[in-house]
Amino acid sequence: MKVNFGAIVEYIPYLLGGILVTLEIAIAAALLGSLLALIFSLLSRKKGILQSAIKVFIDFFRGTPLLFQLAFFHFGIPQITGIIPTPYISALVVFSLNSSAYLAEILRAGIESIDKGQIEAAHALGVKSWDISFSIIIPQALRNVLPAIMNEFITLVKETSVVSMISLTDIMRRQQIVSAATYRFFEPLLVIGIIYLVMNIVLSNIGKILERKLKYD
Amino acid sequence: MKKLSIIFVLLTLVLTACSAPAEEPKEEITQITVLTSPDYPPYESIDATGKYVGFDIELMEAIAEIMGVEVVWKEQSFDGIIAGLQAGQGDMAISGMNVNEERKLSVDFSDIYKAGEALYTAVVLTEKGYTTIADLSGLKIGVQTGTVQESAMNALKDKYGFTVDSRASFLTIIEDIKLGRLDALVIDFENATQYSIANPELGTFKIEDADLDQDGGTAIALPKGSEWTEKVNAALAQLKEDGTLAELDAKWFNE
Repeated sequence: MKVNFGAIVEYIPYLLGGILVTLEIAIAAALLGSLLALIFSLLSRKKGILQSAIKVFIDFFRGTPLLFQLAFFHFGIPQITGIIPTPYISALVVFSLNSSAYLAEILRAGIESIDKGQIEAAHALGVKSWDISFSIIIPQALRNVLPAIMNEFITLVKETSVVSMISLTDIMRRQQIVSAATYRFFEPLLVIGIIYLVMNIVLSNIGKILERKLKYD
Repeated sequence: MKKLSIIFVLLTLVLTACSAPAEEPKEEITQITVLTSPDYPPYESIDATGKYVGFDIELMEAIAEIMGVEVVWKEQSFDGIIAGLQAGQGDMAISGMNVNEERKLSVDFSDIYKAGEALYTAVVLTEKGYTTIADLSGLKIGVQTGTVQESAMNALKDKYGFTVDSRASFLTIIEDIKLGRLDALVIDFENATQYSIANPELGTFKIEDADLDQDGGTAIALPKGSEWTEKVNAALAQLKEDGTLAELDAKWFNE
């Protein structure tokens, strides 16, 4: 194989610039998605219309490809409603909703893992239900599902690579553009592979540190 | 109940935050948003600083100058350009786009600014010795999704007995030809030549068939019924007249 990094060296800063685009979407979507997921998982603890609506929502976002959701929101909805979202808003909305669907299921599992006895005991002691949720259930649930949450965040960072479809120039799209400009394929691909890997190794180490901090012992 | 109301306030906040930018007033008339897919040198690509360069880029800037507006470039992969125009994501698109009947159903075109010469050129491994379209019988041909080459090859595949593989980017097609997974790429003459220069193992030949419509040409795409079409055409006519268009053509295509 003839590999020649000389041709693409001057394009490396441009490739690195994609990190900002990727992280901007991933971090914003992770925060907004977590908030929504928390709301959904708490709301769906009680049976009723709300619980069914959330179930439909989660089914939709887990049951269709991300690329479909992105295209549908960015190109489809404007043709029906006339409201034209910017690419960044489309990406933010779709990635937030998508990851909230997965995170809500993770959190639900975490909440259900908490012993019912604890909740009954808290009620018996007269603890308010707000405090039961936020001081007793959620902290424990979060600790139990932290590895799964970190998994979802890492997936999120990698999944942002589909945003080139809606005219965001992220890391993956920059590889295509640099390949076109230099007529070389392999070298830019290798560079962006390393970029993704390093980003996610950092992320998973942050997860490990958090896990250690949240341990009982 | 308190819990519920807080949750609803949060939800409303999130929803308003999401929809607010969509309600912005339309851009003032001092700017136009132009879509392009900068992965198609010499029409449009980037330089090392990430700046857009190429024939289309300079032409568009010249047109905008005549119209008295500023160009706001918006990067959009080629297969999403028509969808982007239809969804109102840009005022127009310049991306080495060839005029054809199918596209005219979805968008309007400006006058042609570059004649469609040698739209159909095959890129193949030199060692295979293919020189005509008849040699491609029984082989696998790669084309980029949404290009005129794609529809032309689909129209010819039964006649010559080859199969057509449509990809989002022709970069992966070039790699697959080198690896032997595909046998040929069909693309315009300019790009075919550049690929064979950058990859010495590749050669090119022109595809000739009576059914091929060689006269297309490259034009700017605009949303159906756009008020810009007339102004763009007037500017193009002026650039043709004063020789700027010919100068740009010579600069980027070495003709």
